[in-house]
Amino acid sequence: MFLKMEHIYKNYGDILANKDVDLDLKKGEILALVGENGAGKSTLMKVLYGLEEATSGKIFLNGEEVYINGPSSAIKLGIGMVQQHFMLFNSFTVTENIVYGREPKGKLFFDMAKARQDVIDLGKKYDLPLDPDAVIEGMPVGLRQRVEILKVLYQNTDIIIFDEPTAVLTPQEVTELLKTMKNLSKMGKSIILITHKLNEVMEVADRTLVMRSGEKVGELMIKDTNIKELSYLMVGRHIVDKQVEKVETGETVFESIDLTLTDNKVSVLDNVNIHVKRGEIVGIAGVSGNGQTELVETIFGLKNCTSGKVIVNGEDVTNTSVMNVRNKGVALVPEDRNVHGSAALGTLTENSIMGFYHKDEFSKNGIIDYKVASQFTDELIEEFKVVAKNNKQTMSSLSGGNSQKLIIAREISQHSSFLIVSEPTRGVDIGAMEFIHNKLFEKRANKDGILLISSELTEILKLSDRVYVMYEGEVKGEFTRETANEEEIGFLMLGGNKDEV
Amino acid sequence: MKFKIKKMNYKQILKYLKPLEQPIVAISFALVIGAIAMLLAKSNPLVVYGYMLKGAFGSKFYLSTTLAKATPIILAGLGASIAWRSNCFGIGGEGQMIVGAFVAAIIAIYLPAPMWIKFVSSIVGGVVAGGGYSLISAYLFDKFQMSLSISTLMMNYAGRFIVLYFIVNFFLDTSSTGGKLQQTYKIPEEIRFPRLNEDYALTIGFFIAVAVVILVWFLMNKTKYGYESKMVGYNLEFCRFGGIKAKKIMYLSLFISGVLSAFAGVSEVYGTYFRYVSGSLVSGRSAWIGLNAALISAYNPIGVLVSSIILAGIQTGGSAISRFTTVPLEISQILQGCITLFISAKIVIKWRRKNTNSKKLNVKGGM
Repeated sequence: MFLKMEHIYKNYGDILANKDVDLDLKKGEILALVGENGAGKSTLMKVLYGLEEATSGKIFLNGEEVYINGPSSAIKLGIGMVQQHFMLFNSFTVTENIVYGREPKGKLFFDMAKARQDVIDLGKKYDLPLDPDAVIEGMPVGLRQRVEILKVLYQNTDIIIFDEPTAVLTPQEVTELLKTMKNLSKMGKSIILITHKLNEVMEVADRTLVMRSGEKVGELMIKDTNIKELSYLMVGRHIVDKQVEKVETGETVFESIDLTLTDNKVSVLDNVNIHVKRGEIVGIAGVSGNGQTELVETIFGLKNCTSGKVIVNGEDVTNTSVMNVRNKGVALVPEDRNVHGSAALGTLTENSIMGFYHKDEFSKNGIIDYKVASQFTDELIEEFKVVAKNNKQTMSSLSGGNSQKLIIAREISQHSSFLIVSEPTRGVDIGAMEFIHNKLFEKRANKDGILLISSELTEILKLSDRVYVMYEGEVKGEFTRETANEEEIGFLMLGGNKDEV
Repeated sequence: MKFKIKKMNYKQILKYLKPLEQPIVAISFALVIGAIAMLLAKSNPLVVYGYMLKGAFGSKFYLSTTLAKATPIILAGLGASIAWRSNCFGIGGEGQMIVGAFVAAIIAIYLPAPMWIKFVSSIVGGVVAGGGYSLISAYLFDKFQMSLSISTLMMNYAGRFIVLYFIVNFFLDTSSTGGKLQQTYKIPEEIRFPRLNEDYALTIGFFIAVAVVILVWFLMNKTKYGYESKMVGYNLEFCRFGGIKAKKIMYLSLFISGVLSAFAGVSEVYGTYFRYVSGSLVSGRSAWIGLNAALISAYNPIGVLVSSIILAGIQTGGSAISRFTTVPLEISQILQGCITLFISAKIVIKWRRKNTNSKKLNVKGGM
């Protein structure tokens, strides 16, 4: 046994995040750590990587007990981590980023030529070719992740922790990454993969450890298990594959006509023509950073477009204000729930009335009726099964999945005829994801229109009645639920052209 | 609205007192440091603090002096709270006080109109001038991204000397008592804030300030503006997505903040000096003590009221001990300095708590 974690307990105040968890890892093994959000898998890895200190428990490496009190001591022991959010300097080159912190020393300054050669050699050794002189800025996400991986390898690590590595990748990039993992394990590296995505686990891992509410609930060899069994272990109940009912579509609630946005002479949106009808969910597939964010912002009045039109319920709302667009019947679940979707220090009530507090039901003559607001918040909490003590607690005290549920509850509650949801289930566990998806289907059944932006192709395919694919600000293709398929969409997402398929 | 007195258990009472935790800790620490200083000066701290308490709150006379002193501090503190809680970290209270006081005095002295019109236009003119003065910094920030704290700080000096220029050149009191002092004539007696008792310093200004406290509390906690400005303070981006016009809120917050600070200056003209005396508002330091009060109370208007009275009490009590003991007046400044220091030490206390926790874990983890 190479790495062993024994009886790990970790509590935050009253909350037990890890409860008597054991983990072991062999050399060259790929271990998948799966579980819902808040199951304690990230905490366990933070303990291993030294970001958190365990309340009690022991860690052994090659049979010897080790004490890890920070990432630097973890790295010294040969434990590295590829973070979910890349820790790269965008204006630096690949080489500079990889050697940062442990630069080869020259006479006076650091030895750039050697660093560059090191990076090239490293890339060759692990079959991860990269241009050492390329600047991070403008690199595709998949390549950035490759830089992260090389950075960890450069630190001479034997154990590599991947934290939800595929969340931001296209299907093709995912395939590449899984290949890389297998390759690394063949070369003797041990890998711990934190993920929600069970099909990846099945494909790449040797063994899996399932966690639920802080405890280890199962440890299985991949060859002896299947997705059904794993998801049952994770959630504690069976997830039913729901048959999507057909909904008759109605009139158009939203339409963009030749929507174009040029920023600093760079074309961000290029003649985007899309529309959403009542009773349909329209997905926008694309690798993040291909104009989806800007598309949402221009529709929603947060950014002014260069040319083109945004029509909502037959009215032209191009380049007006957020308030105007909201008043015309548009609601938005933003991509980043912490930055754009909520105020961490605000109470649940304060968070629940944002965007609508000026409506008659909440305020009269400039005075907000907090009694009504508080009741309203309680209703949201109940209907969306948000786990919360009361509506006076702060948003930051909710777990990620629960705060996302409350945000979605807020935006759905106003019965806007057109809802934009951006990455509605990013970082949310399977249970909450299923719940959110059902709520979106409910809204669709109510004959409202939904525009879904997601970098998760499976989510797009599951929910959407129609799919547009975006690449570099352009709509590259349109599919219906019947014609949509992963391969073709994935190909277009990476810049392929439709007739080449 | 009905207020019911509920039976509360020990825990509930503690919950309600929670906002006071920080000020109480800070003031107690400051008192301890002050005591050490006194021991070094070979005085008995208990005796000195006794005199201090007496000198601040011990008789009707002292109490009225303290409350009169607290009046501009409360108003300036409210002004700072309004701005700071919506993320506008302006420190221009002093300049706004000066401009407000000056404009109010000039209108009260020179406007040829019946007394009540004089009174109303002087006060309105004064506070609007202060609010407008604050808007200059808002504009500089909006158009040129000029740091609010720097521009407001500079505007303090600018305001002070521009006003001085006008006084010396146009509005100087050249009568027998004046001339040497850079001050205006006195405002008409009929419109000054009446004193509650001829012998005491306390005027109705204090009670107006208390009314303003309630008004500001209402503004912050019940109105749409209150909600918007609070949320802007929490997360600007979230507000943008919610449709709040953050720029409008910034202008509004800084304007109201300027109005309140200017009213602090106006209350000094109407209740203490009856004229604009150059330098008086600067040496009184009310704007800065008010900022302290705002920080101590975490922008809670009721807290501003309480802490302003305490801070004013330290000042009046400080001058009392210099009269009754050998301890010098400066002790009150030491106390005030310490209170501010320990308010900022909030972070230190929390950090220490966390640190000792993790040390404990370390020991356990290593077993």
